[in-house]
Amino acid sequence: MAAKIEKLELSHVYKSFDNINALTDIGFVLNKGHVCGLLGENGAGKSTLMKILNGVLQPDKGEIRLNGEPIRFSSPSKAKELGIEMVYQELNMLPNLSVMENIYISQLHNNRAGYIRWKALRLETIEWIEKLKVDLDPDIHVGKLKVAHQQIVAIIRALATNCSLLILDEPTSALTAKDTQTLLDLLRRLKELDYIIIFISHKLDEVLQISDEVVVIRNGEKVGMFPTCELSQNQLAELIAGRKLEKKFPKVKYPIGDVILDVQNVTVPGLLEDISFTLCKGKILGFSGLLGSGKTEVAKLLFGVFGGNYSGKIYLNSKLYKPANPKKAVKAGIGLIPENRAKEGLITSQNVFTNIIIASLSLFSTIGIIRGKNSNETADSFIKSLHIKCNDQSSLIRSLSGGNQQKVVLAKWLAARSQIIIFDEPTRGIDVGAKVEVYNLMNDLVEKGVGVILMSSENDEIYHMSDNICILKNGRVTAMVSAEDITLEKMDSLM
Amino acid sequence: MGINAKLAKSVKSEYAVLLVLLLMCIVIATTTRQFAEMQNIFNIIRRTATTGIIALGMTFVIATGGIDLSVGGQVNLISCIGAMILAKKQDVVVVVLAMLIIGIFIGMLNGLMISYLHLTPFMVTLAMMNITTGLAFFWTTGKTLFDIPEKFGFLGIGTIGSIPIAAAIFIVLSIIAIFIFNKFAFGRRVLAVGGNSQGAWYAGINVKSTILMSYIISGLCSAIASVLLMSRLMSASPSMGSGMEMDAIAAVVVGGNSLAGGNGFIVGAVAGALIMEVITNWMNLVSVDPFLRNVIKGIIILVALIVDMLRRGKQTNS
Repeated sequence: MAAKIEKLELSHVYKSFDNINALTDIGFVLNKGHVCGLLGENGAGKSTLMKILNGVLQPDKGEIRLNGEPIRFSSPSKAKELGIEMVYQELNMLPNLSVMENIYISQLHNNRAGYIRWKALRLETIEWIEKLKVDLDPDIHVGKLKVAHQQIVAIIRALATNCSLLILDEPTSALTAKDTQTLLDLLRRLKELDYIIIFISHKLDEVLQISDEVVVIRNGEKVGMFPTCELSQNQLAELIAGRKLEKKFPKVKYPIGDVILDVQNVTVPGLLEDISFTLCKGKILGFSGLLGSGKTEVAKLLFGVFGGNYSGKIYLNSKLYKPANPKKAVKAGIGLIPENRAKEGLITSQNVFTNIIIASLSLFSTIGIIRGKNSNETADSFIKSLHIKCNDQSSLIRSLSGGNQQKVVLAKWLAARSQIIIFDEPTRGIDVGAKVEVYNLMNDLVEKGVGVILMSSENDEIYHMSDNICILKNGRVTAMVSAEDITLEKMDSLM
Repeated sequence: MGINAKLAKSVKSEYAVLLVLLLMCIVIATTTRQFAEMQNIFNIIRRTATTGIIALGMTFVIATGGIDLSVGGQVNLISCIGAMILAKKQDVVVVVLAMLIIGIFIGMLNGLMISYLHLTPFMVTLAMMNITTGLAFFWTTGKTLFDIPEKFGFLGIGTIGSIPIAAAIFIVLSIIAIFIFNKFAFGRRVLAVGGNSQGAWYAGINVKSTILMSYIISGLCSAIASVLLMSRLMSASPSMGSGMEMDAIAAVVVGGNSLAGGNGFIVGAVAGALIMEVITNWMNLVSVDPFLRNVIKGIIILVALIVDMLRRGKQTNS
């Protein structure tokens, strides 16, 4: 087992792929007991840098030193041996196994005969639970835990392999405010225990809360390493984007039009209770609430995911609307940009063209045959107008960044000429600059007369971009107000 | 692009299977004299037509992420029923139509159970394979039926000019299949359902009817293959189609289509069917020990899978 890492040094690290420079002259020093935030736009080079630290990639030039000794990570297992571990966004838990099995899965204690020493396993798990002061039951199946707790299991799993440098990739993107604080408390404990932590995130307020310093990367180059006490969120955002950011929330007011959607006393057993709201043209309706409060359920209800399993009435342009399935919703002109983009929003094995026209095939076909020129031109025009960064419409979705994939999902509904588009957590995991792009796109939609509904767990996003706000708690509406009549603090209290 | 770069690109693309087929034919033609003889080539083509047509239908089913193990059994049942009708009523057109309808019907049963009752494709079609073959044996009491009128042989053995009719039908159907995958809205829906059925549902696609349709197509293709097979052999036996499901699946996969779904590479399936048939023919010509033949076929399939995995590995990001 390698010695504990007390100091990590990178100097003059370069990496390029096929003549494209991913990293240029990166260098910084991290000491034990420090949390360092790693910030940068999508594509800036953060994951390349992490893959180098992980042993997945080798740098072209430059040196990495652990405790003063130059090290070459010849493979991911070598990096693990030396004490470097990473917790990914996707966690990769084994839901049907217990907490302690997940933690020790790669090193199930066994004697020569191959038997597992359950007693020892449980004792060591409990040791970790007590050392880190977390609230976990070693025997419970991980699948039954909520995401925040699964993440803690993932972290302990990383720590249990004799790790002393922990890298966390977007750990809080799916957590509520409360769970985020629990996680940050855990990180503070790890600081006390002298771990080195690298924290990758787009949530600047959290990064500033927990980090001692931040390293900002832009276009593969280090912008700088700054102690967090000297920085504000705005300064940080500008350093990341490299330019003075115009308003973080480009809210524009448009003339109010007719009521397009009128939801009356809708109840979905077990999920939503007596929900009512209206959506007018020209106004963005925002839904606020904690994870599980019912925001996504409202979106899914309107989109037909629950079938006929609801009571109440929904009127679309004054006509009764029965969302029996997504096909009906699409036909009625409703589009959903889902929270779970990969599973529900895109066909990742297909290309950009297919994903753009997939919801409007009948609009682009005559007697079942797709009109090639018409559909290709439409796809191209959306790639242009939404600034979707891809080689061309035949690029596979897999090759696009998260933000650009999101734009393809939007293009799909624009191609289908949706009259209402529901955005469910649209800016999650997307960098600051790309978020503004999404908000501007929403404004464009409103200007064109498309109804926009926004679901988000980021309160300031809802507060600044919505005209009307509906706050949900445990499936019920706790407030239905205009944005001008409420404050961020009041919103918090109603959630 | 220079000629070297073009060559490299085609080798890495899914069309490489065509190069493999070409190389194989060249090697075999130079080492085994009888291979390139007209009569032999025609036989290969006629035999490929039957498995090939089933492979076309199978491509649709596999593209949606399913599998159809019942096609061989369908051939058994459909040809025996066809022969029994032919013995009573000598009308070729009526019999062919009846056979096609039975194929569509069996495909529909498969599709309904799979898409509406949510039963697993493997098990449903496995059961159907047993039921169809069993019925064929039951109704023929295990006997081979030879009472087939001369005029029925036209489709399987006849030629238009110098092209066997079976080949012409196979080529036309292949072109239609390619068209469906590339130009028809239905083709997009099949690929979407196979790629991510949940994502397809969220895009407003009727996933159930798309899957149902793919099994109906498979049934129809089995029926067409039955007609050609019965016509070529001028007989019908309750076991003559058994094993064709494996050949069809092998053809689709050797051709570069993922068993998990999302690919509609018809050219590959056709090439795969040809590769399997050319190998079988060669083993015949050089008198490979009959017991070793399946071994060699199996090895070919494994090699194709590994090559395909390597090719895919180059395309996806890690």
